[in-house]
Amino acid sequence: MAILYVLVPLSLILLAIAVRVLIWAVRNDQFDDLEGPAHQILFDDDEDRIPPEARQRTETDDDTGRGNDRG
Amino acid sequence: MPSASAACSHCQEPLPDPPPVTGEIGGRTQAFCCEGCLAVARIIRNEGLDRFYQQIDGPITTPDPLDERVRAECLHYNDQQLLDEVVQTREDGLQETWLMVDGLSCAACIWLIEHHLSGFDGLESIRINHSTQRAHLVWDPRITGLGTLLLGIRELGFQASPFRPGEWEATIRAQQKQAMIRIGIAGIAALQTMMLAYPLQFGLADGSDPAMVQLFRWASFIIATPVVLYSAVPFFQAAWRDLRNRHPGMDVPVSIAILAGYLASVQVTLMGGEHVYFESISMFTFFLALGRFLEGRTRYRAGLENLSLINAMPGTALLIGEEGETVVRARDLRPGDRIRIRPGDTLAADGRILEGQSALDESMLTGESLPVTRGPGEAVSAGTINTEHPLEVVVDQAGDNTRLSAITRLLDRAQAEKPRTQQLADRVAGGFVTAVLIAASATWLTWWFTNPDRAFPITLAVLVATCPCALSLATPTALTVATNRLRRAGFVPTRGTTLETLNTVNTVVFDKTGTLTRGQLSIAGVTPLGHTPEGACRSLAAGLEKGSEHPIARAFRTEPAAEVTDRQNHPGGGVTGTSQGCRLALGRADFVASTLGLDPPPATTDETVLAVYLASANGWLARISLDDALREDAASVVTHLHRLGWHTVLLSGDHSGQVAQVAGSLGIHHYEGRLSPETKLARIHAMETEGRQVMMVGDGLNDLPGLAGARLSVAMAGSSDIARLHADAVILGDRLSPLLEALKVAPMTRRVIRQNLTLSLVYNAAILPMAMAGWVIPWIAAAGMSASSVLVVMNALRLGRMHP
Repeated sequence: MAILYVLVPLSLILLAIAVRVLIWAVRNDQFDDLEGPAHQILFDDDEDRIPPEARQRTETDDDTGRGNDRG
Repeated sequence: MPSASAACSHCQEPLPDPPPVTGEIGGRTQAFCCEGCLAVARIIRNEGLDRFYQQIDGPITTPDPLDERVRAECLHYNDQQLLDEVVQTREDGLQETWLMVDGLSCAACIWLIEHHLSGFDGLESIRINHSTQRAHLVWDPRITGLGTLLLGIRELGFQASPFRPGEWEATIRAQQKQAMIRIGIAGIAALQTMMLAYPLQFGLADGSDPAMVQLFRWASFIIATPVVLYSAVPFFQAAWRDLRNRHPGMDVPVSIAILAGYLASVQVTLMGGEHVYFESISMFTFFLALGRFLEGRTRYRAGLENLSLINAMPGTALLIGEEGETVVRARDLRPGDRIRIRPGDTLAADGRILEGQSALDESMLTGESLPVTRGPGEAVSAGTINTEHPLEVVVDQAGDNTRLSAITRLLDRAQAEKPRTQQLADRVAGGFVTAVLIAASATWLTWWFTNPDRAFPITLAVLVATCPCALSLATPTALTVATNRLRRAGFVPTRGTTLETLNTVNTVVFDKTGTLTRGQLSIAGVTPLGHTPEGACRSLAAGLEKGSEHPIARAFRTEPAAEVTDRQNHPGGGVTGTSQGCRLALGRADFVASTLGLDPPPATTDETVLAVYLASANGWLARISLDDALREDAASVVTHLHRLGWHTVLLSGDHSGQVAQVAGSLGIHHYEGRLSPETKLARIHAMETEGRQVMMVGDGLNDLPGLAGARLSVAMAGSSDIARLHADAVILGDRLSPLLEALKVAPMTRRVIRQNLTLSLVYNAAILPMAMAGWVIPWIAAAGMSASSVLVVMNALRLGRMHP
């Protein structure tokens, strides 16, 4: 059980790091908008960056918009 | 495209056949419900932002078309001088501001605005926060101006206005951040100390190795110290304030328990002894801080939503000087200045008309639903809206001396005199503190005489075991859940006591215009007087009224308009125009008759309703009756209130016969018209002295003193900014029924709060004798505390789904 004399102080150091990270996150507005990023990640605005050979479908079908896409 | 003709290609509103507006976009003809939608769709197409339509998953607001007036108004704000309050200039010469954006329904809207604006020269950055609906703009004032950027957002059909995060908000934001850190530290510490406490309490590190016990205690001590010295500080501050005010609340026993538990554990760590309580106080602080934080956030968000409706844009006025007209800030006006008021403008100061005649909408000040015609020499007040013709006004009173400011001052006074509601939890806490302190002293005395060695640890166990964790969570959790539920229903309580006060109210005072009614005229009926069918009359009338700001004209906005040329407004009379070579007139019967040289129209018996007449040079066409229509659910809300045994009162500033008519049709018990803001307040005070508990529902400036004087005040969403800011609750949307939901939830909330208080008191009462007898082992105390807290939180959560 002597190992605990090392492990317990070690856990205190880890704890201090965790608290530092938390403080950094709060100060940097990481908790400011809890909804937006969840939506943004799903937003397909990277089509320009997909190389032409990797594109799955042509865009001629849907240039007028919706109707078909909304359900 | 058959599928496109069924719904507007932009906002998806269903379309009549044939569609009102069609336009060619991207080489195809598409159908739209209005010019506004077409314009927005064109911008979106031209900039290649079509993806917006595929990504959107919320409703699109139908945009108002941008006319020259709106453009000019936006571009005013390129003028630096008007903006020094809302815009900050940074050290690098760039300027920044916050905007409130209305109509953001999903991430696609944000994407659209960000991409559209990124094409503007001079914009450095734009960041839109999804949850607060705010945009942060940074731009280079040498290249562009705020007005241009605002116009860019308006072009897409969104409303945006600069918002000045006030001191209140800045403070709250800082507090929230600090609270999050406090909770985080307490949470992490609670987990760690519990882990260290496990071997201590279950004897795994006991006796066999005293050095190991000491190690665990020291580690716990190091972890729990920041909790007490940092996380729990708000409780100590509040307790100290309570003690100085001689009004002990929940924070006093909380602070005593935390401090006593901590100091005793420190003593045990240093000198040796039975138990340390580091994990109990960490967990305890964590639970409490979390409860407080959630409660505070609910109120903060309600406040944000409320404030977000407020336009921080400085009011402007057109000053007539020697070199023409200049835009100045309203508060820079001085008595004697001459200002021009264009149609649609709000008056910035009190004054007298020098030139021009126009109809002024004074409903905000007087509650009168129809505009009043004013001509040269007559007095006009700040806050009224010019609806017809340009006016030239000489300023009599500006700034703090206007009638508007006088009403605001009356409001402040009434607010100060308002009776305060004491929260139930505070009263319970008062008794609880006394009981705990007496019990602790009794314990100490008893043990001192029987077994002095155990007196201190057992007294301490009493204090920790009776720690009112569940008791402190009882009220905030219930209020948080209830408030969230009500907010979804459209009723936003803005103060902590709103829900409790709601239970004590038994009389409701309504305002008429804008509260029971929609506050705008609508067509109640069209009676053809000639051979022209009703539909044709409607479209002719709509054509005549097109483009006018007059409230009567607004009633025709939804009608398809016929082509009418050389339209002319005749203040106090009506409008004239020409359609297909035929002269037309619409307005008061005598005006129409004299303009077109006709005999008076056939008489009617209905005198209470406002009517306008439509005629051509060949004869009378139709009689159109207009009404400030009741809100759809006004009748059902009033009936429901009566069923609950409430007394209903209608107090209105309106001079027309409509007050009696509205009261009659809704069955309201008591009504009175022609009341000034001051007399409204007097009536409410009189009712309160009769022993009634009054809730006031209103919207206008003329309701302000009444709202402030009533025990509970509720403002409609369309209310003036000050009314909303001072109300105890705001009803969102244009229905009254959220009020009923609030009346339903309020008693349930009270019941849950009482259950929660009972539950936690029972737990504390049960554990107290055991602790006094010295039987409580720390882990039982800790488990009991957590269990009772969880129970209270679960009980509060029921409120979200409960039916009465």
